[in-house]
Amino acid sequence: MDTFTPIAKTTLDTQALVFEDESDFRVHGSVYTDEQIFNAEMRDIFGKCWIFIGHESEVRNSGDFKTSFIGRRPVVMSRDEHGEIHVFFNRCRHRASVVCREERGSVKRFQCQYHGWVYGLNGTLQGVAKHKGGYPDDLDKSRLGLMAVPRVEIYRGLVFANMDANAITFKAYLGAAKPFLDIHLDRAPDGEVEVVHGAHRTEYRGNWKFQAENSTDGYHGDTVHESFFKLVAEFGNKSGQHGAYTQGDLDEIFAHRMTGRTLGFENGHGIWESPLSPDAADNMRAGPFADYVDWLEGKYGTKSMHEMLNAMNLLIFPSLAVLHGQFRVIRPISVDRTEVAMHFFTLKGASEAYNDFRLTGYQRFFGPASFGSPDDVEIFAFNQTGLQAEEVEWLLLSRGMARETLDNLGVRVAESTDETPQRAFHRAWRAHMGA
Amino acid sequence: MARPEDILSRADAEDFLYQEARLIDEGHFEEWLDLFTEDGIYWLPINLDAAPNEHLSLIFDDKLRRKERVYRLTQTKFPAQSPPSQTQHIISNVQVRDGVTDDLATGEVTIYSSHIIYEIRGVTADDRQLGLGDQRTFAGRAEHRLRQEQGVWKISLKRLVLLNRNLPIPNLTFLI
Repeated sequence: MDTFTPIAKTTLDTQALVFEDESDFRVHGSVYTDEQIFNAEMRDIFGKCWIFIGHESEVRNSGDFKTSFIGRRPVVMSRDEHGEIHVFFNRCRHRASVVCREERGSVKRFQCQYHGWVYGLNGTLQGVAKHKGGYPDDLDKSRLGLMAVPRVEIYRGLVFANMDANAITFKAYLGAAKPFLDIHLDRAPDGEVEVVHGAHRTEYRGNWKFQAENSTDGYHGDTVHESFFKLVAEFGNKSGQHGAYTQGDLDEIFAHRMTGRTLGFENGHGIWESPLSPDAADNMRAGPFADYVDWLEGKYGTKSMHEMLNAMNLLIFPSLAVLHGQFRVIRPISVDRTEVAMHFFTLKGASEAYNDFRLTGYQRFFGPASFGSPDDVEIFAFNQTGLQAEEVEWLLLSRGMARETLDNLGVRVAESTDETPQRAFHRAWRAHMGA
Repeated sequence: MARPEDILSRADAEDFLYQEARLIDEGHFEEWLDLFTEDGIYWLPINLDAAPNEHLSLIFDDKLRRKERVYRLTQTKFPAQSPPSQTQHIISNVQVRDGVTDDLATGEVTIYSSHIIYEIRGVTADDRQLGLGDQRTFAGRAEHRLRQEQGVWKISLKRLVLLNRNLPIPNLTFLI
């Protein structure tokens, strides 16, 4: 009987594709264009790292399921009769047909539509159609359940899965980036968030890593999002505030965007952080959400309150970004095609009015028809087109290397427009590839 | 009791929708803004069973957000509309209905219609580049609620339900 068998190792020499010395950091163009490398990533990156599957609140009740992907692998997250969450491959053990054709829903069992094999909510094989005579009477059904993804860990409601049975724990994997994920969740008075508003989905003609890099890129904002900042300078924030500093006129906005910092972590995670404007907490206090600010300050103190109101984008390597009230899931489809799903989350315990305010602000900048995120994904097709000039071999990611410092937790720290998170990403990429 | 047809004939409703489509397709976005009432809403929902604060929408624009949308299109340059989209609306299956009992009491009528919208990224686009060469098609059904202001019909709600509202949509930054 087959068991979980990892995909064969790549024979590519991937180590030379990320070049680093003291003052130079480059990534080879083939990292974004080569199909063999893409295939190797499915094994070495998506097959070894902790991949976000969804949030517990998306499968609240027994029988609820949600389909997802680990790289290209189709999986199902389900909640069984005992409230346990499972993540298994969306693949019938008989002839590989998916057992689940809907993105989410609620069922009593999963039945393969091809030959009718039936599986329980926990993936166990319950019935084989026309069993008698076709298979031995003592067929060992216990070994023919929907194959579970080897490791599943739930961190404060976020469900992650890992294809590598020997992987370090999710907490260890997050390492020094853990407090930053906690900040996003600690903003909720009840200490947890909920994904109950569906998702904005978009796709682009470019490699998946462009969106991963961009989610913590502080360098592109003034150009790619100039239109948005002009709009804010013209109309203010009455129509919704999504988190980034947008007080003042255009010059003030741009000057403020140069403050803040970027961080790069050992396992490829990264942070871009932009501080709260000096008077924003006061403004919030004067507005309808004073209760929330008071709660935040009471719970965490004045200094921490300011930090917690910062705009802070966290990329959890390789394909989950947590920013501006959303879980952004990057799904590689092929070497030059990527889907991005942005799942807005609400802060549990916050007032409906405050969550509505957050939603209105989010929708101003995020989603296919918004004033922000469509410009990012548009750029990734620019990149992918330019990459076809293969003779220009390298992409340059050295910005801010000279002013990058290493703190006592092994975290690299630099200024807000520096490519520190992107370098951390590619160091981890290189470490995983072919390892 | 008056029937909605007595207030707005199908021919008038068609003229209204065709005129709106013409303003969009020909790029008269400021004039398009004037079609709405002060409290008018422009809504492209994703989940038809949810209120706009219960689920993400593709678009949920009040007057200010609409104004921002048109400002962005007409006064700023941005990658998702550089080069700009061109659209062609095809509208049919027009019906005038008093779907809500007190429509007439509030002076509102509702027009239902079907839309096919073609979109390409402009005649100046280098269509050989990734992301620029596709002609995209959007199909959907619309509900326009109209109210008279100073004798002129204005939109208090435009709700456009796209067939592909759940699918990944790369770029909806043009007026649809």
